[in-house]
Amino acid sequence: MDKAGIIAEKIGVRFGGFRALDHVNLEIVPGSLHSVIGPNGAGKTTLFNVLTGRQLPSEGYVRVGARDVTRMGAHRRVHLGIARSFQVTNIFQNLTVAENVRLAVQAVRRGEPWTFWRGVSPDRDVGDVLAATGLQGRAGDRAGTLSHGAQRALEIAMALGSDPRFVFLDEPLAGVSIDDIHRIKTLIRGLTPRRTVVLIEHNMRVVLDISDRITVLARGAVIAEGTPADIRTDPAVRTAYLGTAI
Amino acid sequence: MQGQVILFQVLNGIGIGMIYFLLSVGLTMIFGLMRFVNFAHGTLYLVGAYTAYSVSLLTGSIWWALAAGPLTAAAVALVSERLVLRHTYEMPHEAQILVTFALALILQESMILIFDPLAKNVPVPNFLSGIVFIGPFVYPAYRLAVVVAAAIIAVVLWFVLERTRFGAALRAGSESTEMVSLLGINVQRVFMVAFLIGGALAGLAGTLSAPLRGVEPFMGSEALGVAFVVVVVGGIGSFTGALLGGLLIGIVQSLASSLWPEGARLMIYGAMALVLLVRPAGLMGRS
Amino acid sequence: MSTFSSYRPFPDATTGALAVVLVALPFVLPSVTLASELVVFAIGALSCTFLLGLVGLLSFGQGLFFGIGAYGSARILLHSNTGSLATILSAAAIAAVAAAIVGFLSVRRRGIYFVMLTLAFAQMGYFAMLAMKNVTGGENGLTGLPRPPVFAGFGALTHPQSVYAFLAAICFLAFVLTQRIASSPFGSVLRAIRENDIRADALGYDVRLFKIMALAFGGFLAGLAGAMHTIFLGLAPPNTIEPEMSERLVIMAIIGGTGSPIGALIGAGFYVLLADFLSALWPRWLMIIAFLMIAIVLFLPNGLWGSVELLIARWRGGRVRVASPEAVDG
Repeated sequence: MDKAGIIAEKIGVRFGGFRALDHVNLEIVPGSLHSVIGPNGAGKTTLFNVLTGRQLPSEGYVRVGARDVTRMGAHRRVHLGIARSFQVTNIFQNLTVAENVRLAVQAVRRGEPWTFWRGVSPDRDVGDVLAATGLQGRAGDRAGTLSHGAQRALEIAMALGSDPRFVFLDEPLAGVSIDDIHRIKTLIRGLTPRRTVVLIEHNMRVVLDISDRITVLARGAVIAEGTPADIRTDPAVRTAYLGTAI
Repeated sequence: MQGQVILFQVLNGIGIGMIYFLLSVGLTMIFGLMRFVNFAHGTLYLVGAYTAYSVSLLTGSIWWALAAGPLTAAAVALVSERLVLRHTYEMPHEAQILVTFALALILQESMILIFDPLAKNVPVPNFLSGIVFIGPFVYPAYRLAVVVAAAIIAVVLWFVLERTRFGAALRAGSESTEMVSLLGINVQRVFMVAFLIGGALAGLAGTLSAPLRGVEPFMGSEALGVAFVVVVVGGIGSFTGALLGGLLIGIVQSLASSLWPEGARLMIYGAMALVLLVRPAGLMGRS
Repeated sequence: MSTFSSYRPFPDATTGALAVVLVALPFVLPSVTLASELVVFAIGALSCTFLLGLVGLLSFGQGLFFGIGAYGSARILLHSNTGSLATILSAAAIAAVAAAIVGFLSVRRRGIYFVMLTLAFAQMGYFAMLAMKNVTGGENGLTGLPRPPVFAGFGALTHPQSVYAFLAAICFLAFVLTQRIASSPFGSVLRAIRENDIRADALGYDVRLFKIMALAFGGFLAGLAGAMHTIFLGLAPPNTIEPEMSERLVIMAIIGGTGSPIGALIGAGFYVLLADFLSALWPRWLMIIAFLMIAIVLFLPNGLWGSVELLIARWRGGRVRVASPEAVDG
């Protein structure tokens, strides 16, 4: 497999007068699990949007290996091996669980999305992804009828459908029940080293447990970066999260 | 010689453009505020025009027509909001569009029922039927009066938007309805007032243009198309956009009518296509 | 449920039912010409039904492509010896290209804004027709058109019955093609775009391009109907490109219901028959249609056919299962 990583340099994003991201540098090593954490409003999702092509940065650039993808739209990045899940569940509510995943898988099958003269062909990968995320029992159900935890699992399944090199997961554990957290955590950790995972999460225990590397954002800038051990003891991180009262 | 003709057509275009501004400003502000497009907006223009016709027939006085046109249009807007439109706010966009479109059809057919399908003439009021000399040109007095009236209204509107609390609420609401209601302002009330004013202005546009273009039932759907063009060119939710867009389109139409008379109305849509291609958010629009 | 709402295998019971209806129509209706008019507008309405039902795109501009099909075929008939079938297909192809161009400009915006643009382009088409009167005949339209045989030298269309058979065959093929597309991978992408176009984009689909292609097919169907209209009437009048034509096609699609192609047939049938029956009684019958539309949008959002399908499903008992390609193909 291609050993390219993702490098983002001097990323700046401005919305009118407001600086959402300022001079952010990020290097994602292939095969690693890299977490991005920080208090609310730090710009984590904005950074994801820049890396996955939903947001054009005002400054800076993003490279996948040697290839500059800064201005490349989201749908094209999928074909470079970049896939993402959403912080707010963004599935196809009225379609079945299987169809949700099948659409993700179909998107990267050459020529298939443009085939209009025959029916849909079954794809084995759909079953594999459903099994990996524990959704095989709900395959025929309308996605909107799933529990919140199952819908978050579906979010991840859809990100995995395109067999991506880089999986961007935006708060996959948000609102997930305690019983499901362990399962999803193991699933995410198991994605590496075959794939590279970039994770936004608020659940500190999980982040410190499974990450290889952590970048901390606050108010649009990187305030710390390192291994879980480094971050655990970094005073700047403490201050950013807990304020100076402690 | 060439320059003078062009200048004359530009002045003409300003007259047309000011009417287009009055027609469109309500539509664009409401769209910006509530993401609601009233496909019956063109029929408010129609109502204004037919009111001008019947009032001038009954009383022969332009002042009564000028008052009745916008008021009738606002009344129609009020009744349709109360009876029909308020049920659609929670519905998906397509449903809103289809309901307002059906409403437009009902209003249009009602006009034909009350009057008849034939085009009607509305005479220019006597005291404005002459001509005015502007430098070397002769300019129809009525058209000049329309420009002046519309300009006064534009200034008043600008004042309301920029200098009153209502205007501030309207502008803020265009950016974020949530924020505005969190601040304790009754967004529903702001919307209603804006909706009625917008409707009245569309009616006024119809009233003012009746002596220029005559009155016939399909004017409503054509007016809707023009209003959409102005919104596209000027940008959604922008007062200056409606003004600039209206003027630009009016001037384009006027210039085109001296170069290619049959294609004049086509050219305004050509201008829209150009703006879409080059600056999709419109002249004053935010992306 | 129905073909557009969710995936249905192809062909299915409705395809057979359609064939039966088309065969029976000229015997059931008071005249063959009425049946021909119905199938012409069924295709026109289908262009709206396809776009709104499958892709979620409400187009108030299909009349533009109906008109291009009507005028395009008229010009071909006037200036060449092409058979009727080739004429119709060529005109439909021209309309498809026009729809792709208009679509390219319109898909730069979404939602209500997109609908506005379709209406504006419909108006544009009308003024273009007036402006180019040496090509279109202006207010008079193009008249005195020949009605050549289906192919060069074979399949004469001299009798109303043969005209109907020809138009009904095209109608059937167009419906079958539409159902095929809806039940294909391409159709599944369009459905996904309707459901959540942002997610479709995030999955790797070029949403704008898919929308443009869908609009091109919608334009093809509308142009096909317009060309059929020209063959049927023997003339291309201005009303084929007036904004009212766009409105008429939308009304038919909504009344019939956009969940399935059959809705287009039902909606067109309803409109054409009502017009034929009522217009002599009360010239303002359009007002009744408008009230009906409001009632349907507010209370019967699946349209007439969709409501029938719901009733059938309930009568059959049990929950209405949502079909998906995965479940059906095993």
